Amino acid sequence: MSTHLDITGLLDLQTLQESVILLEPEHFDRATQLSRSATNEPHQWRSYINGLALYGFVDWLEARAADLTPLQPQSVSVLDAVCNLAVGDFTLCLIVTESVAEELVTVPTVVELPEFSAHLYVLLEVQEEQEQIVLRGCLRYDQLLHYQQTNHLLAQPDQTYTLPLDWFDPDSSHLLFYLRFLEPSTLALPAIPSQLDQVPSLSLPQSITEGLRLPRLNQSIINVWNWSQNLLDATAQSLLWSMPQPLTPTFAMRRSPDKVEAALQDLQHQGIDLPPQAHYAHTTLEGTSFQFCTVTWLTSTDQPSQEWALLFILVAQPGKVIPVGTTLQVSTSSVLADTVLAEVTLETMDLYLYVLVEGNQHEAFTPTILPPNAVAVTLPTFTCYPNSAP
Amino acid sequence: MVMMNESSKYWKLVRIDSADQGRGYKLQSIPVAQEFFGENFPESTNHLVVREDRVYRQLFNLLRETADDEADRFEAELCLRCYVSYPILQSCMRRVRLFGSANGFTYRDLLSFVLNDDGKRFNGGFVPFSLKILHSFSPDQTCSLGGWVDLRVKRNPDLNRFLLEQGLNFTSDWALLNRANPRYLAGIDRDLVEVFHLVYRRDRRQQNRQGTQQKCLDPTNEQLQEMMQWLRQRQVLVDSTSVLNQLKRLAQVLRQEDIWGRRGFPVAEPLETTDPNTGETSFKDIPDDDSTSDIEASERSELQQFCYEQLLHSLDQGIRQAIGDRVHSLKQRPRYTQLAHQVKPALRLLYFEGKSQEQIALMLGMTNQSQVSRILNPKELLVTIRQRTLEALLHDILEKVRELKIVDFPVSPDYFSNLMQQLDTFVDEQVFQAAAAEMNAGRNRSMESLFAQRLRQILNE
Repeated sequence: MSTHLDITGLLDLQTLQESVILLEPEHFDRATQLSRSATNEPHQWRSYINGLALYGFVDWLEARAADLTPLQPQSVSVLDAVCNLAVGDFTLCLIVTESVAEELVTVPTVVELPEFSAHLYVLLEVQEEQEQIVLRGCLRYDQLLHYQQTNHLLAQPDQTYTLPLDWFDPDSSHLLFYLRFLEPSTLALPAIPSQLDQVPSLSLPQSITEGLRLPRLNQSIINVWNWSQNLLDATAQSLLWSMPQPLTPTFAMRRSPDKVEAALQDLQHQGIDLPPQAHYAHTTLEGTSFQFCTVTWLTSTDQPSQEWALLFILVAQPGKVIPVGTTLQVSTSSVLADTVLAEVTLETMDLYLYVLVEGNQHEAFTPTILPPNAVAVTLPTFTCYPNSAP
Repeated sequence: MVMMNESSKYWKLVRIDSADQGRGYKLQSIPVAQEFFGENFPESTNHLVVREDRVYRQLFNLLRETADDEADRFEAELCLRCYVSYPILQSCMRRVRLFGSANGFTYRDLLSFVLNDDGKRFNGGFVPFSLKILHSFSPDQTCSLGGWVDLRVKRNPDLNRFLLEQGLNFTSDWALLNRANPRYLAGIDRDLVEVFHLVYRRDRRQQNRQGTQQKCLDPTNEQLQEMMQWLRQRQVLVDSTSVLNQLKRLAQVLRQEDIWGRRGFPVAEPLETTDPNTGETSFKDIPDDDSTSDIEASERSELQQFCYEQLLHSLDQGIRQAIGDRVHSLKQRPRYTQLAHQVKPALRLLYFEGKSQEQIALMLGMTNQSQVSRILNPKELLVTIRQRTLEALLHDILEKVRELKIVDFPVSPDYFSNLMQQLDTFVDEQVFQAAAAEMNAGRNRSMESLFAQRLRQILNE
């Protein structure tokens, strides 16, 4: 007898408040794939369970509130939490557990840090064998602070806090109402230190840093949404990108000594269709022989699915060459692990490398340059997400 | 929960009610207790709020002081027996929250173990659990009576035996071992779990899920061999049969720990402190969240009025949206897209003609049971309708609050939280308690609740 869809069982109002999220085979496939990016037990199982939690939760959110679209997080999933899940203007942190029998919740102290703090902490219990997730409750940031102060919460030796289950509001519709009706500004989060800070502002416990991918604390994110207005976001400015400009109609006609423009012209001659609304910007990668150019445009403006395109071009700096065998790789960050979408390697006669990708609003793309005999250069992650300020 | 004024907790006893579609409990007035309470606590019955712990400590005092007067003792004790019946019920609900979610049992199944007081004189035979709790409580310790009740319920052997049995049905040994944290174990147990994880978790992740809820399979011989080799590397010498037995033993230990608590019985509770001098342990009560916002009485009644006016409109909106949500979400899943257009017809068959799920499946040409559940799932629909109704109400109320300039915008999270909770109670009292009860009534339900009426109305649009 399936207890899964308990249609025949008795209903009471308390069970109305609970949310049991059913997991589909697709969730398991993706979670398994995700777990492969971790190098060992127990990190693989952790990634797997966190993946199930994330994918299940995102689908649940879609079903209960289709207009609140989540943006996948950038952080790594080997902690007991999945951080930086953006839903509208809110930042969520999913605290993932496999059991609540102790009525205690273990939260890594990392979630206090500005980079990982969230407006809303959502507790999810993953019941792997039963193929479901129970949404156990949510805790607001202001409540967490208040409880911490009144209860003198101490960190455990393993860099975690132990919170009573009671602190979490078990009514899942309250979470949805918060997301819909509250202003994030009323849950003021601590400010994140500026991106120019080169020193990582936290030291992860050794158990986490051993043998696995580190969270990309210094990974920058460039939002190209305002490039159509020739505006750079703060990150791109700090990384010394040129101001975005459109491709002018006469562009393709004249010969340009500049390598970036020469490449653009060549691409157009080759038949790559660069629409009139496309804008491009470029930067010199210090300490290498490369210049990098990004061209971007929106491919369709039909709501709700907005598609956008990115054309990445790698050229050499003036007076230098790109080593043969250099590879340009583009990965997508729309899942927690990066999946390589496209890859191209320089042959003897080429003067530049390019990759063209398309995606929807939720997707983010990270280019990486792999020179044949040198260390890889990872570029910022590119997103195209409407927000109020560039 | 049950809304009632403070003092009735001391003379209304919560008792099991085995009526089919009920909540499983009922409140029974005990006149003798009511009279006694009224005489000894006049301020409470005048609706003055008195601190709970003062009242019950006073009752305990009366118990001790009136040792000679048997009648008075009985009545004071009766008041306490009534009082503790509420936290007993609540503890059962909490236990089910933790262990019963979608497991197929509800708090009703737990009541018989602990809610067995009939409100009569104790005559030397069966001792109700409430009396055991009262006799073991020391009013001098800092733990509250409610907290003590909760602890006793959590340690009730009969109740826990039930939970254990349910757990055996619900979770396999291997799933339990899978999710165990080796850090909380020591010695060979820790090695066993770590080694189990290396092999079993790896293979479990590779399993191809068909959505059939495949239970964790018994470890194969190959797996056991591999585990044995890992153990050897750690200087633990066992043969593979022993490995299996050891794992099963450990799984039993973990099951017990889940239910009784990790540190053994009696266990240390979270936030428990031990007095180093006396060795006594007591609780640190978590301070209640003060409700910070205060709506003026006149504004409250205007808002209340507004709520009543908006209720039907919000409910209708909620129903429409929820049906739309259901259709939309089915369309999103390739597996179920073609069922999306069957939602309304199925609902009509259910709510106009009272057809059963099997009949509906037949009439709509569906062969797969899970398909019917996907479309119909009345419980899930009720949940969504309730959510959407509350959203509509919240939206309108916030507009009204803004208009009346009751608080500053944007509203503080605490104010909003209070509002949410008040509206929760309101809609449940007005609409959803009845709707849920109706849904529980089974085949012969009449479906005349406000909820059902509005749903039919909307389905006819």
